[in-house]
Amino acid sequence: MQLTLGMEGMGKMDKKIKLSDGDGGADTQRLIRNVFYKYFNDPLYNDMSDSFVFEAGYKRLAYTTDSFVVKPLFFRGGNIGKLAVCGTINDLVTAGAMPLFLSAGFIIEEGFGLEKLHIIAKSMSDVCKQTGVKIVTGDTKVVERGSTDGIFINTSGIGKVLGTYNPHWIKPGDEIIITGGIAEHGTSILLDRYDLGIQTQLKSDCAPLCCIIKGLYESLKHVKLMKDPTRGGVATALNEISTMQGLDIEVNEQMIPVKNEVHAICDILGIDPLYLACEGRMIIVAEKGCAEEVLHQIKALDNCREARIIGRFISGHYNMVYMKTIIGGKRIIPMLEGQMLPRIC
Amino acid sequence: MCLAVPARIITIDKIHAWAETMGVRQKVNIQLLNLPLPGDYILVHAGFAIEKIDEEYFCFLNETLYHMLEGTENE
Amino acid sequence: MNDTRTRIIERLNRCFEDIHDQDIRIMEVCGTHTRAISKSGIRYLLPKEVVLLSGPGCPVCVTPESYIDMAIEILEQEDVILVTFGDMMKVRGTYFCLSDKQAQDSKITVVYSPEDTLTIAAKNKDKRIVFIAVGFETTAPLIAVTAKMAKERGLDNLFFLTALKCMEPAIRYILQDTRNKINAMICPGHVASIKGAEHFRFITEEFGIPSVVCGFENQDIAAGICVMLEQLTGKRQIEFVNLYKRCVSSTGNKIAQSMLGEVFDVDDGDWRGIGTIKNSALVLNDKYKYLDAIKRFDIKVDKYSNSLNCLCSEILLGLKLPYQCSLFGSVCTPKHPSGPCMVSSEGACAAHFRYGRDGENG
Repeated sequence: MQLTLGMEGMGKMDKKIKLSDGDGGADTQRLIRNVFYKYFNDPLYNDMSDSFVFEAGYKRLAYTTDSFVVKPLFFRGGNIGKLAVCGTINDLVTAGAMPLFLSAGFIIEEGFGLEKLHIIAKSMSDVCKQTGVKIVTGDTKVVERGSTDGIFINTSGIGKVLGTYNPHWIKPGDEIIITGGIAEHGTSILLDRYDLGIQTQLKSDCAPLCCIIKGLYESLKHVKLMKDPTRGGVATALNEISTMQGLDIEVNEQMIPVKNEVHAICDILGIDPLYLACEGRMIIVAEKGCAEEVLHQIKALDNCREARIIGRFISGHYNMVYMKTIIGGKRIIPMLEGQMLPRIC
Repeated sequence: MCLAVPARIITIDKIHAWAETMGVRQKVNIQLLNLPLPGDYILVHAGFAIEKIDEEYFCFLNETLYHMLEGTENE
Repeated sequence: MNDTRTRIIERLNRCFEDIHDQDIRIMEVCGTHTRAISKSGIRYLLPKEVVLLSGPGCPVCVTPESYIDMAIEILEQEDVILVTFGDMMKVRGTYFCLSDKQAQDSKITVVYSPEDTLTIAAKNKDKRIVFIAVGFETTAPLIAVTAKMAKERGLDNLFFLTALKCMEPAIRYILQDTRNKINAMICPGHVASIKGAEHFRFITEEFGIPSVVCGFENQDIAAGICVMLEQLTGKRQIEFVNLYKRCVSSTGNKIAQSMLGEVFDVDDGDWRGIGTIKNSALVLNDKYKYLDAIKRFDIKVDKYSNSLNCLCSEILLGLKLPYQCSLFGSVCTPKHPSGPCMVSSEGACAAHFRYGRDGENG
């Protein structure tokens, strides 16, 4: 991406972020115009006021927030900006909401490269253009060198909850769908974080999933719950659901979609892909008897072609997640404990 | 202490080789092998090739059953 | 299930019919086997008479607290970068583990391959790099090669804090205890790749129990258990078997073995929760002693003393269950483990703590 300094007629910017870029004065205005307004610009919202005002004639709204501190900032298949937008969009989707507006708050370390900031902001804008979601308000602060790791981003989001979506208590027999291959984001991060001498085409699955809301629409009434398996992976997400619902879960190892490259890298490093994050996948709990129909509609969507029914809820006493293994055995899948690190043993 | 994966040598460059497993390439130290060649199947532990592997294993895992049923486990 | 797997499982199921009120304890002595067995879910398929025991086969879990204490003592000196496999980060010393120290802003780097230490040492000439060299005979040849490369490249800032152990003395220690209740042994497949299958024949020939060199796939483990049960129920004679011939030859990797001889001597070794086992450790020999971190940093090595009430020895022998240890659940928990049975997340005590049973699933 070529950086052309001094566009917008607002004067040239240095190549690195300075403390004064965050103190609210002329330098801050220059930064906002040259970077954030350049990419998030929309005439409807571009009046430089502190708050975004909109009409809310909807029955139910969903509102969420998340902060993003991923390392490394740039990874194969994305960067912290793309992650920040997709993450909050997907959190709204789990509420059955069509995402509408986002806020974006940036805490930037003094000395951060301006070119990197452009790349991050452009990535965020690209996702917005793809989904129709708009970044309508935000904030920028610059902190002293060493106070943060390059950049932290917070995004909040508002969405309109579809009338057909009515999450309710899960019962034994309800089934669990995953919308695609697991652990691709987490595995990509591991490759970029540790120098492993590994070459692969694998990249993060980071992607917005609003297509699920549009795609399911009527069938949303058969969906009891949605959850995106981010930090801690599918195993952690399923354990959280199991505990919340007071039911056991049985998953079928053979049905869980895992790319060959993820298998290979996890085998090399001794890491279980069930515990690695997905950033473009959704766990969907479908009412008993309706899972095939929901799956059929999901599979027609972009990013969801590998969707599968991977398990179901069963009555039990321990609120645990069990896996039926390839040889017909059974094992418990506990919550993630501690950091996932490469092993030799 | 035994985490190791099978791989196939693609290219060799002095004491290292690029070895491939399921679409992933890994740089591997080959100093513990006797005359490795491109095309050899190897066992990789912590970035080192520790042994060559019988080619049949790399594709199908039938050898175990063959030895069990034929009762020819011992050499 | 593919055809091979199906046939193995069917044959395994037929074995169960011949078990009549016979308690069968099968031990594995490899941390990777422990995990593979857990991952396969095979315990769920076994009748209650057949119990799979986890021996002292995880080099990380049998590393004494004093070793971690030494690593931390070195780390606290000036200009030191500690380099380690990920496995070692969460093992507790007397007070801290390495990940506690990393959180306190200490210089610790996790690597996948020992060879990475050479790059780190070359890039940080003003620092002293200390590698936490832990492993059994699968990993020891890699450390040997790395030490040799360090010597050849004239790297004067790379040192090794070794805790390398040998499998055979530990197996003998367990089987020589006449109280042991072990009926069969799964031999570590990748140690066997290095040392040769014949290295483990002594288990059957000297102690009269079935022993099988197994791989790590689901069907490898199922096949290994099946062969052992067939021997124990009289369907075939008791004998040593290599079921992992695709990766294990009878004599092993000669280059790796000679590398061990070139760089290491054998010495007594300290095993967490067990004590000192004679000739069970590999230490840098005279030619490579200058690379030894204990020597370089002049670290005082305390005589190893096992926690008085830790019952890991007996749990490992299959004599006691976790809840019979007075430390279990109080002094000794997964967060503050005393012995290897709790350090390893798949160890008998850790599994019992988590699930309330002896590592059984379902």
